[in-house]
Amino acid sequence: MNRNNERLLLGSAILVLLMFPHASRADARCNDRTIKGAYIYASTGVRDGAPFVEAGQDIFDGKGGITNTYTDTTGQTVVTKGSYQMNANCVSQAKYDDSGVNYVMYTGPTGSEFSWISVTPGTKITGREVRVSTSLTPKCSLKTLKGTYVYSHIGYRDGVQYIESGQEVFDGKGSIRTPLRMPAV
Amino acid sequence: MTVTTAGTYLMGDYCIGGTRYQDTGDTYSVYVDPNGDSFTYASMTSRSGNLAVGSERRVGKQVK
Repeated sequence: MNRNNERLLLGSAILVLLMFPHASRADARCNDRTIKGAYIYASTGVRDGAPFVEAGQDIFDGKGGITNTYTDTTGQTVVTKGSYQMNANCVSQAKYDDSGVNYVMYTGPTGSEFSWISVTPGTKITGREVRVSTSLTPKCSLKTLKGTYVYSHIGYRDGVQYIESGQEVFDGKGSIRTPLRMPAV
Repeated sequence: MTVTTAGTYLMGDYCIGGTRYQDTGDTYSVYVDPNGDSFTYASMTSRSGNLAVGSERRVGKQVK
């Protein structure tokens, strides 16, 4: 390689680094195994022009398969399957069998959490999922929920939007003894 | 206006459970962290016109 070629190569490398400063760090950081385990989420948005809410649990098997249990605007709890494909830059695509809605998910090398957005026309839904267990079969009992918890949310009652914030005490035996709630002001 | 009431909860397989509150009769599905530090919820009472979703975080382990 002559000196002119070396300079050309060096110049090209610098140009690439300037244009894509994170390219070298992003390479091969993520794969399907990055998101593996049980994740929980709560999401809001608009679907077919109406307010849409959904909370649920996703079990990612680390091989491109998802088992999704969720409760949405209908008030029903549904179990469905899905699939995902993680790219090396930690951006992935997911699709669920029941709805056919496509999502794009953004995570990092640890896969401990990710954000997502629907990309199917007619849907404007977004959320964030957090890994709560590396197990594909997480175990809980009444004792799991024990202590004082706080929350706030925006909801709709009879079509009217309301806000609520509160504190709840779970006793580890099946009772919520002293919920304190501040509904819409 | 602060409301004080009571409720009950159940826990099923794979950390998926439910809550119910006496004052409104509202029920929710809950999706729980096995460590108990957090959970997400969505209302199950669409018939009563309640539509809500959110998450809760534990701020203390004492039960008083």
